[in-house]
Amino acid sequence: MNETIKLGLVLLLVTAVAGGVLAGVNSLTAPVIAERENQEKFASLLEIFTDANEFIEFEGSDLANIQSSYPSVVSITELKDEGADLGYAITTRTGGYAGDVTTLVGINTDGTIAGIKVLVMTETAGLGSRIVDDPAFAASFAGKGAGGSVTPAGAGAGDNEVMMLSGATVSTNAVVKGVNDALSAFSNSLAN
Amino acid sequence: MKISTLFKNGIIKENPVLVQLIGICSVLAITNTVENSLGMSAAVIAVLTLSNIVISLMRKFIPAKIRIPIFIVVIATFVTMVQMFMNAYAQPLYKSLGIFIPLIVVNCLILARAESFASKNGVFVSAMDGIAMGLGYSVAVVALGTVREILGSGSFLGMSLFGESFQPISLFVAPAGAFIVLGLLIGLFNAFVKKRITD
Repeated sequence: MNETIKLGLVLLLVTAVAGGVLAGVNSLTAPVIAERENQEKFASLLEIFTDANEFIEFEGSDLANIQSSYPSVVSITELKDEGADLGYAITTRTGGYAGDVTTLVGINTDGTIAGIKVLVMTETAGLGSRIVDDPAFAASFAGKGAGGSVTPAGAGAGDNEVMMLSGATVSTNAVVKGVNDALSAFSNSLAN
Repeated sequence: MKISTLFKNGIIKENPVLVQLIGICSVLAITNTVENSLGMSAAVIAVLTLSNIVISLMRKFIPAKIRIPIFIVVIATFVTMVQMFMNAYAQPLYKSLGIFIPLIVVNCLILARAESFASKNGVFVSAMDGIAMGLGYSVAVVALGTVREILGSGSFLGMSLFGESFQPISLFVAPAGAFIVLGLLIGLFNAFVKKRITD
């Protein structure tokens, strides 16, 4: 009994030190990683809205109000070209097969999808990772969503249907959920 | 123990990949390009050397009954550190190595060195053993990556070698090609290098 407690304490001590060291390294690298992810997001924004030259980031209570109804929303950026509204870019984070999937959803002012891009994911290589690796997947979202949501089905040819990746249902659904949350957030809180 | 013996063991006599055949899972997966091979080698050398040092320092205090969980915690800590630094400062490499960075934790090469060497030897020789074994791993992995990239993609370190008309053999980028090249490499290594050195 005593020995068990002693062994447990030794292990606790070792893991506690390891945790402390990692927390230190994390606080060192986290800002660099966040900065880079921000730059990637910016580059992706320009891929979707090529004409955008004004980026208005939602902050504080504006963002918090929308997040209270749509908790998967991470950030919202309004995009303009010389003052003319282009639409919104909404980043969502939803649960995938292995960890979270962060998706950037570009929505035109008329409520259709301008384009999507999966920014961060750790899905299985060769299966779930096709949400990034297969360009046809992201392309199948463009122009859809006028009805307020999209559903995955086959090759995604029909109205408001997007490509279903066989063997990667959970990953597909994670992206679709993120997109649909973004569409709902747009139609209920942002469209006027 | 002589340092030169350690290096001779790590790189030739007990080469972790070509002789002991340990840690093969990640070897097969990441050797599709030379760049990935170099990145993985650097990560393995760093983790192996650092974990050997720490485990050697702690060897008098680690209770024998729970030594394996403690080794794993130490190794996992260094792997996570390497992962964080790679994500921050070497993003393209981090992306292409993907899941195989966290899998270094369960690479039997590192646990094997902790168990059979670092937990029984002093700090300096343990560090040298880590570097030597890591170099042995690197030599094998980079050789494998070179052959596979040249045959499978027609390039070396991303630079195209043969021009447009060359039709690469895509089998060599796939895991099946990794097995074939690894098998040939082990055969050649045993026939020429290992025999000459050990005799």
